[in-house]
Amino acid sequence: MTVKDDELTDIYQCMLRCRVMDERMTEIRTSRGSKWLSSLGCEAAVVGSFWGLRKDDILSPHYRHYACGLLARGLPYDVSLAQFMGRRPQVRRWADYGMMPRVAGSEGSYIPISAGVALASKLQGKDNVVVAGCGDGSTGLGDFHEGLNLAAVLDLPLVLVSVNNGVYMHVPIESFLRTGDVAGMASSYGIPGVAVNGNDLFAVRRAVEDAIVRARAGDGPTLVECRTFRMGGHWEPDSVDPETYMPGWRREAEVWRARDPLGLVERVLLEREMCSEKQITKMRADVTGEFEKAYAAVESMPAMGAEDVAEMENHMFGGGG
Amino acid sequence: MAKTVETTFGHALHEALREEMARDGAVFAIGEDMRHSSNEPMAGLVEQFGENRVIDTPIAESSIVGAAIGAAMAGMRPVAEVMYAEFLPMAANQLANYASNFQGRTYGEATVPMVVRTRFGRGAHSHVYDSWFAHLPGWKIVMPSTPHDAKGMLKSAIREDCPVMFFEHMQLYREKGPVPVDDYTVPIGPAEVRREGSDVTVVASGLMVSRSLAAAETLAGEGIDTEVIDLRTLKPWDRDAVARSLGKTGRLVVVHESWTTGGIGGEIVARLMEDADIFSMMRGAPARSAALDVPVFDGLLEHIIPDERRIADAVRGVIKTP
Repeated sequence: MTVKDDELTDIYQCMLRCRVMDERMTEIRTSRGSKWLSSLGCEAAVVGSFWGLRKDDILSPHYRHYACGLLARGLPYDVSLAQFMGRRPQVRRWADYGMMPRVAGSEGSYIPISAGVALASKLQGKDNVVVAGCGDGSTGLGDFHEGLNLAAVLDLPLVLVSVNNGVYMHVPIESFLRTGDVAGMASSYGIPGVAVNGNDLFAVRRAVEDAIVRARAGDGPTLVECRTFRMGGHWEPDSVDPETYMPGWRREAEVWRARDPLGLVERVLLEREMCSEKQITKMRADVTGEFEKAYAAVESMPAMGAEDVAEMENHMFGGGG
Repeated sequence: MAKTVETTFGHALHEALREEMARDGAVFAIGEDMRHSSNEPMAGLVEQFGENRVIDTPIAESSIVGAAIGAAMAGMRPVAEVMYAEFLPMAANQLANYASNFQGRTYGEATVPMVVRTRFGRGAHSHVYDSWFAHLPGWKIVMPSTPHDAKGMLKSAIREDCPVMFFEHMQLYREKGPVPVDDYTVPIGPAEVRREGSDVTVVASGLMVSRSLAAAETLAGEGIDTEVIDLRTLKPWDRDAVARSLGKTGRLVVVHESWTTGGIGGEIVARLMEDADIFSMMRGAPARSAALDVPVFDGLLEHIIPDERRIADAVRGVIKTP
């Protein structure tokens, strides 16, 4: 078992933080007429990939999972929330936090950049690794192919975790990837491709850890596909009913609801008598309180403004400030 | 007077790379056909520095630039090559949306000290996209016209802490010029006055510098005294130097090899004329001489990009304007 007993409660709590954040941000944004990109149902895939990495490892989460990625890295709610609420971004010291800064929108683009960070690790004779996330939609991009191919031919310490939820925006995977098989693409590059049940924390951990061990040993990149299901729309709220572009979605969602990633871990915690039902309930209440406090604190922070633009200008040619 | 050696532009680039790679272990070259290239700048480098310092990639410009960005953020100083400027658009997403964005959006906590070297100006791959990428915040854009500047500015580019695009004109590769024997750099930014004059200011870069100088010789015979300024750096370009010159001449012609519409000539003219003091010094309307807005290919290159005759005509045009 690659999840040590004494850390399972902590991992569960991290997954719970992700869940509470996604539920509450969905409620809040919907009530205010804006949107939230939710990771609901992907907690095992995200936390399983990014939990417990070394301080000198670098994470590059998928945009959708970036907020949860920050939590998996051990950063508190207010850091994650400030990023998404237009407050002075607190994830500045990217080298200290080991998080790839999000500066533009295209998912696949981060794959070659992540490969470059991994290249630096190799050239510097270090054994830190880069764990990058992407979705299934990213497989369409040239940068997915170019980045993974480059990492393969240069044997770079990169782990690419593709969270395959079967759809991008309102386009199901059958329409953009004939095989629907992301892990299978790895064989084109001569690297291992592993598909796992993305809702099973332990399966994700096993696959990602194996990939990290390979990468640290200098054996090159691995493509890990976490198979899961998008429990909502592209955003929350989404005006387009998923049933229209994925016939049978509602029925399928119920099947996946029974595979809830938090539910699976709760059952293990209870079976192994590591937690009681009461403790789990209290954990949710505590995390909810933590979220509300952090949200209120971040909301009361001044929004970014003209002085931030001026400061950005100082840094645009480097060595400024 | 520093001791100099007659060196070709191409060899000067090689010396810059070799010296910077020897000086700083973080400097490495990455691109297509780097190790066994028949091109002068890369010759012998893999033998001297090893495969970890000179990296061959698949034919994949976007990932070459993307990987250089990531490696630069993680403490290396990559010198990426996009073999021909015609291929820069293949990496446009990385160049435009990521390279300098990291620096700005993290308020300098992430820096991207990378150089993208690229060649243009002759044969099947003549296109130059300097103007297009000059539009991007955070990039420095360099186009030397002499071996001295090629070496000195490539060294400076490698030492810069921000992304630098370095344009190498292939028709200049065999041109010889004096290059100091001792270590030196040429700063990125300041322009150089190549020919002093009092009647008109011609602002040029790259191959257009020597063509402007040739035009100036012809014009001298007509009693027109031309000042030729070699920008050397297209971004940030030396506005003060050009303004000082305009204070003398009051007449401006901007010459560049990229397309006229939306080209850097427009940016240069606009930025100068926006200044009321400079505007008031003008004795007539400014002019540009740049590539005609058609696809560039070697068969018609000399009819598309400015030559000595077109540059001289542009000067005569601004001298005539009341």
